[in-house]
Order: sequence, then structure tokens, then C-alpha cells
Amino acid sequence: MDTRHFLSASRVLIVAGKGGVGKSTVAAALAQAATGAGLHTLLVEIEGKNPVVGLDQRVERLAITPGAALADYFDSLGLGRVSRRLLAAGIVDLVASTAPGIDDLLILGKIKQLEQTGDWDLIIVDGPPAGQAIGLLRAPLSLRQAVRGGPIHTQAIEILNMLADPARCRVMMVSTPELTPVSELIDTAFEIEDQIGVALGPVVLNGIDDESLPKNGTSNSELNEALLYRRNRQQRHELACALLTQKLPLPQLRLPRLSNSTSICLELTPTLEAAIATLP
Amino acid sequence: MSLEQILRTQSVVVCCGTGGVGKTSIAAALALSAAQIGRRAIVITIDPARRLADAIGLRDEIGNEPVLVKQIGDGQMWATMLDVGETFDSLVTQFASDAEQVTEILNNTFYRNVSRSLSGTRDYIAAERLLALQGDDRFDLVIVDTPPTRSALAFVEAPERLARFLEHRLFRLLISPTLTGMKLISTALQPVVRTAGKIVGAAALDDAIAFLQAFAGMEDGFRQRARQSATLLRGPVTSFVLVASARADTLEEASYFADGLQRNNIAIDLVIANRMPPRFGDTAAKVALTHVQDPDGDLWRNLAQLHSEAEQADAQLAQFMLGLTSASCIRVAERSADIIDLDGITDLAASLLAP
Repeated sequence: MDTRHFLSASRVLIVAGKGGVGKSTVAAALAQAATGAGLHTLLVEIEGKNPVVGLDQRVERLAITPGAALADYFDSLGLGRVSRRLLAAGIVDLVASTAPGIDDLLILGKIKQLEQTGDWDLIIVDGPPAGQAIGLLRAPLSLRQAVRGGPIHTQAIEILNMLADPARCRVMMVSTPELTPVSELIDTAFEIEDQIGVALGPVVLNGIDDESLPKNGTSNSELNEALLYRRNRQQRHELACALLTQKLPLPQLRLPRLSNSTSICLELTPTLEAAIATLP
Repeated sequence: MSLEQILRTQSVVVCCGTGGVGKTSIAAALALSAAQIGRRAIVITIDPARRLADAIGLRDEIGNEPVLVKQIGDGQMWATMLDVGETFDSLVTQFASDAEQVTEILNNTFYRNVSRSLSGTRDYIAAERLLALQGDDRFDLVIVDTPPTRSALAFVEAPERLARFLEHRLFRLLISPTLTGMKLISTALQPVVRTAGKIVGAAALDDAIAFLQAFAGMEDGFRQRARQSATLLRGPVTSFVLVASARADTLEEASYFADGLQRNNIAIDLVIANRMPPRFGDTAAKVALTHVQDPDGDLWRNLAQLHSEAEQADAQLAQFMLGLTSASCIRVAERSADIIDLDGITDLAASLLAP
């Protein structure tokens, strides 16, 4: 499949995965690849940490915080003046930071609003860690039930409509090829599909060690131990990949292990494009 | 403070860090180590991902009620997983003035949704659960396995936030016992309520107010507990242990987390650098690379690649520790297999305390 076709399948792509699996770099590489394929792309960051460096200047980026999303939302309701008064009194802040689920709803609401402007061909969201992704995506469902009528209820329904429409939104999960994160990913994937009804894109297996190794050892114990360790690591990766294939019927994008200081533009993006090309 | 000092003297250890670094296994290993030196330790996981039971090989057997995992002489290792709804219900039962109030709240739709399914609630309830376990005579040490970065900070900040809300003038006016509904809300409050009604919807606001008013009389109990949790987290009997792995991206998240703790006036006592890439001898990567034309060239190349990973990890960890001058650091080598039972945890505990 070509990159443009693959990345045009939905307008919002939420990238989710545990910390340390390279979720943010994969999201950045996807944004880079989409921009390169001629799609007008926005990379959205919602975790409030430092953005990934080394991206092409052409990739547009936006950091969303619940507070800023709230101010935008008030403006869109025509409540700019009133809300500023409430904001000044600290009341809005108090409620937004205390009421569970509101921050999640604000972030998703902002993403939905960006999607509806039609300004971008693709919005890539560098999403929350796997366990939190469920909480984020479930918030509109819970709030729709908890809150009778009114704007919050409406907002929750509109977000659910976006989440449930595979042409508008997909979730792409990222994992390292180790057993624990892969089995956690499988659980999370089923929860996301069954409970929230969001379509899942291919799973990214990031950092697969597939270097070919010499068959035979030698008398040097340092070299031998290093070889045994490497073989063991590759076997673990194969087991984890096999488990994923067996348990989760989704296409996989397998990315080889790159060095720790990889440049996203120069190395990860072409690798990702090559993996996308192998998809049927 | 060294790990041994922490395990011998503290009452609470909070294990924090990003996901995917083996935090849950480390927390379990700390509880086991504490049991080995004669303490009665309990590990509680508040991560919604159910890894604790898997890590110690007790899937389906760990719930909100603590279970004794292992007795070692006088020492004990216990484990529990936070059940948010159950803990919240028991708080309501504890602070309600009568059975009627309990029923009223537990059956409130708004309460059921808020207490069962929204992630923010977890943070408040986790702090409450920590306080309860710390006051429980069965345990002398509580080890907390927190959820990944963003919400781990939320966990630290949650009690303070809840207390602020409960102390706020608006909240106190809303739950005032003389008010029985929107119509009787004092004139001072009416503009605020009207505006709030526009924003969240009148029916939603009615529900929220009814929910808050159902709590009338209990707020002091909740507020005091929240204040106590906030104090406990910042107190001298609590240590924060940051679990990290030596990769650029996870260390960056770890720094973000350390900064957040600092803003909350909390210092990290110990860093556990987990899954450090191993070395197989003293040959530097650069030296190994000079042998790639030898007869065993492919083997040398493999050694060079692995040692280069180890050297990069060392450099990144050293850089990270520069920013945390008051913390000590323990390095744990990467293991060849996932930890899936208590034997694995026992091995891990041994490598944590090895000199």
C-alpha cells in the first residue's frame, strides 16, 4: 500500500502505547511521512512534555492542554465574556481540574473541532500511554451517561460519533516486541474496540532486532556470551511477534531496531514507509 | 538515602516513572525485600493495567482486599490492587450520617458513573486507599505502584486538589443544608449558577448539585482525609523511588516527572535504572569494531553493537543523574526473560540489594 493511501484512511489517527515503546517518535515519523506524501498534516501533542525534535519544518504541530481547550470551547459557545469572568474567579479552573473526565473530554473535543474545520488532511495525535488511552477514550461514554442533556452531553455524543466512524478516526497502537507489553497491548486493543468502538489501524512493533547473526561461536567467552544474549533477545522478539499475530487479527508494521540516537527524518520515516509498503 | 535505609525506616514508598520500565515488578520486589528484612510490607498497584497479579503469578487472586503473598520469618509480603468503586463506596459508608444517606448516594447515577469509570476519580481514591493502608495495623510499609507519568503526577496532586474544591466557597454554598434545590439557591449564587447552567446544561447542573448535596455533612470527613493524604505524601516517612530505563525517550519523561515532583516539594530519594543493557567483558565498543575484519569479525561486530548500546545507556543515565543530585542510583541489568512469578521477583529483589 502506498503511504498516502494508507494515511488517508481516516482524518484523525491517535497513536497510543506504553511509555518507552517509542510512541512519540512513531507519531512524529508518521507525521513526517504524511507530510512527505503531500498530505496537509497536523501533529497534536497532549501530554505536556517536550516535543520530539528533528522534524521537518513543514510538519505543523500543536500542543493541546485542557485549560486552553476549555477557553476555545467557551468562545465557540459564544460565552467568551462570561467565561472570562468565571475563569477570573477561578471557578472554571476549579471545576475543570476537579471534575473527573472533564479534562479528557476537553482534549477530545478540541481534536474533534480541529477535525471538523477541514483544514488538515490528517491529524496525528501523540496519544496517552496505553492504560490511559482507555480512560481518555472512555470519558465521553461515561459522561454521556452521567450528564443528562446540555452541552457536555451533546459534546460527548459528538465525540463518540467521531470515535465510532472509521473514516474519521482510528487508533494505532505501538509496542516493543516483548511479551509483557505485547500482551498488555492485546488486552487494551480488545477493550478499545469492544467498549468504545474505535477502529484500530495496524499495530506498530517498534525496535525488532532482526540483524542476522553468525551461526557458530568461538573460544572467546566474551564474544560467545554476547552472541548467546543476542540470540535470546531475537527469540524473545519472535515469540512476542508470534503471540501478537496469533491473538490479534490486525496488520502489523514491523520496524527494526535502530540506534538510540536515530534521526526521525533520515532513518525512522523511510523505515516506516517501507513497512507501510509491505501492507496488502 | 540507600535502598536498605528506605526499606528499613520508611512507612510509604511511592514507585513512580513512565510505563514500560518494569515499575510493577520493581514495586513487588521492594515489598519482598522489605519482608526479607522482617518488615510487614504491602504492595498496592493503582495502575489500571493489571500487571501486578501477572508479575507475581497470582492472576485473579488479587483484589481490593489485601492478600498475604509470602511469610518470611517475621516479615510478610502482601499485595492488593486498587478497586476504585469499592473503595469509594466504603468511604461513603464510613462518613455518611445514616443508612439512608448511604443508599441515596450509592444509587445516584451521577455517582455511579463518576466512581466507576472516570480516570480522574482513580487519583483521588488511590490517595485515600494509601492512607487507609498506612493506618492499617497489619502493615508497617506500603509500597505504591503508580500509573504512568501524566497520571502519576495527578495522583500526587489529587488530594490537595480535592481538598481545595471542598474548601471552596462555591462548593460550601452549593451544599449548604438550607438549600434543597435550585430555586432556593441564594441570590449571591444565582448568576454563577445561571452561567454554569448555560455551560453544562440545566439538567446536568441539577444532577451535579443534587449529587453534591447528597454529600452534605460528609465533606469534612472527605476533606480531612484528603488533607491527611497530601501531608502523608510530603511527609518524612514517605520516600519517592523513580524507576526508569536508560533510553533517551523514557529518561526524558522521567525528567519531566522529577520536575513535576519538585514543583510539589517532593524530592526523589532513589533512582532505579531498570533493564540496563548488559556487558560481556571490558572491551569497549570502539575496540571491538577494530576486529570486524578478523576471522571472527561477525562476532566482534555483534559485541560492538551490544557494547555500544550499553555505553549509550550509561552516558544517558549519567546525564540524567546530574539533574538529581540528592538521589542515589541502583542499576539493574536487563533480564533474559519476563517476570511471571514469585521466583522472578525474588531474583529481582536479590539484584536490587546486591552491592
